[in-house]
Amino acid sequence: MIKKKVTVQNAAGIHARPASLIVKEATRFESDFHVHMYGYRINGKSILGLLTLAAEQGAELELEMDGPDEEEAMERVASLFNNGFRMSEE
Amino acid sequence: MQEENAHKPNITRKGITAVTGLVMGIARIYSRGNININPDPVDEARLPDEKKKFRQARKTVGMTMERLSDFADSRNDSDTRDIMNAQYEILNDPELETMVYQLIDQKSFRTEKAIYDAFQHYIDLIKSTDKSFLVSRLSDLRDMRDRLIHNVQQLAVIASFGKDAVMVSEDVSPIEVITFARNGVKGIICTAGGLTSHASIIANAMGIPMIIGAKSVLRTVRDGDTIILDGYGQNVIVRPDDETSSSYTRVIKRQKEEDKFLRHVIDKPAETLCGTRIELQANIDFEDEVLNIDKYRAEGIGLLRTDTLLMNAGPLTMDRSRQEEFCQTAYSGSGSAMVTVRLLDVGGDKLLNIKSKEANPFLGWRGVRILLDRRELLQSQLEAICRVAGRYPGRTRILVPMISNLEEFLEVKKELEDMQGTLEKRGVPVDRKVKLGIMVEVPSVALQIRQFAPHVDFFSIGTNDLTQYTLAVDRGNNLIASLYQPLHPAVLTFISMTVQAGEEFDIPVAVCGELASDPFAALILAGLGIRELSMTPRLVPKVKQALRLHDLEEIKAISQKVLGCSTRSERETIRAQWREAYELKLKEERLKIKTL
Repeated sequence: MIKKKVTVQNAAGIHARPASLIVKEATRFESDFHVHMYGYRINGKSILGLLTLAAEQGAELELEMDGPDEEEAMERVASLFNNGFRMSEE
Repeated sequence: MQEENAHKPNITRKGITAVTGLVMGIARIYSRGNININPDPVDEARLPDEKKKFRQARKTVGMTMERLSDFADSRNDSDTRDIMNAQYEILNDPELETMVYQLIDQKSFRTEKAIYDAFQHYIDLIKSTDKSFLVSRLSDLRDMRDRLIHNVQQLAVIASFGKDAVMVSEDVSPIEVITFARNGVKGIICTAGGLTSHASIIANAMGIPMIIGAKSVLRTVRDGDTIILDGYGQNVIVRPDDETSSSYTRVIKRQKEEDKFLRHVIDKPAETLCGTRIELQANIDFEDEVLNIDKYRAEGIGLLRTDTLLMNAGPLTMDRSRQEEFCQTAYSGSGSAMVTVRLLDVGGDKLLNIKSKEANPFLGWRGVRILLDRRELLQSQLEAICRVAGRYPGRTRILVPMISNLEEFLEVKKELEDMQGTLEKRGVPVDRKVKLGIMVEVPSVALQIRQFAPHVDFFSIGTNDLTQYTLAVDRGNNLIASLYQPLHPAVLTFISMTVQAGEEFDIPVAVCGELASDPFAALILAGLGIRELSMTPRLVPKVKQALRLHDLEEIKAISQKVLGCSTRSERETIRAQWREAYELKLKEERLKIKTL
């Protein structure tokens, strides 16, 4: 299992579109994926779970991957956060 | 609602026949209605069913969504795409699924109640965050919830209707027709609806008689009334009196005898009296129809329409794996016979959800014209077909629709070769003997058929479009319905020219329009030299019977006579004379079979 801290960088926060991008990316991998925030731990492959975090710009989250492809999965999902979910217009 | 007729017997209402046939059954009034949630728990024994209902509803809603989302992709409509993608993820949310199952298992909730409560849980949580960027989007969640619940309730309502049901509804959707078919519904009556609507295409494929445009039926019929759907007379009769109902019962009985009689030809070869083989193939639109190929002994698939894969949502791209699955079903259900897969033939009447309306859609962006403008769509189709073709070598023909000049065909041919090369490189088995042919439906192609012949592997004539393009008659326009004449000498001349080019260049020529399923027309086509006819599978025995009772010379003579007719009434006379003679032949045949 590996963990990594990320920050929400896009202005609009994790609303439906970024959440669906995260789920889409994470479900391509076999590894279990969880997100920690304010003491909550939610299934990162659940869009509804991600939405309930209500993570705004600047929020810090910890990603947790556990499985055979955890390294690559972490890299891909973390990069979504780091490039602001490819939303230059926001 | 006006109900002064509510108890009068024997009320006849006019409609338009979308699928011919005659049935008598129990009227069931069908409407989509509002969502209502029953909070009562169910018996423990039914809990697995409740979970199954959730999975089914999710699958149906998901099918629609996937296509919408692809569609948005193809149009670079990023707003729609985002909403669709998010809704799709909501639908498939693993936590949501777990919660629905838990509510069913632990609280014995019905599916609807479990779905409602699971969604409510998340809606409440999101509301409590008080973040407007989320709360303002809760409508997406509610929309998914309502769609799922609707679907569950629809299935339940239809399943409760029983085998004698004749559906009476304002309008029906393609998904509803499929659901009706699976539940053994006998007939469908709609107060609205157009002839070329997808719902009626499906009803035809499923063999469910259907009448549309029966405007006032819903005002006179009550749920549970006896009702007759007479597709031949284009009538609906509500609460028939004894006399009417017994006369219809006689007709229905005669029809059944006819069907039974046709069973004797089912296993006999499709050939003329003198032994000329005419291949009778199946037109297939849906997976559910594939069973009919064997049931009616069609010889392979002469036309596998892929358009229906777009149906429920109507986007212009398709999921490749879904196409592959569809082809796979078609191949495995047709023995070792050839399968002719037609590339997407949308546009004209079949084009959906396109905002910019064309002034002349039938002369516009359709068939291969769309495919060449949307290469990714063409490539995904070719890839799906090539992958399946590789698993069944020697069985594939690919048919390109709406060709109007040779360049279009050569472009597609190149794309096919490129795709085969790409797949080979990836180590996917490929059948290099896949045949590539064109639909002959545009008059310019028929006139120049010799220019096409050296390049194509086969011709397939689409009689519906060839007729409307040749005669300048819109086949969907009721005002000029009588001008739509597929047996017009001009149309037959084009067919005959195609046959001659086929013989000269040794290329097979098939007819895949519905014309082939009319026995008289089938004979004429055979008389012109067509040796492959493709039609709705359940009509194969009827056509086979007609072929088996005629000599090739006799058929040729009739074809020549029709080809020489200058008026419609002359043709009608020839048809009537033939009909009379044929009835006699059938009578003799019946006697022969009885004495055997």
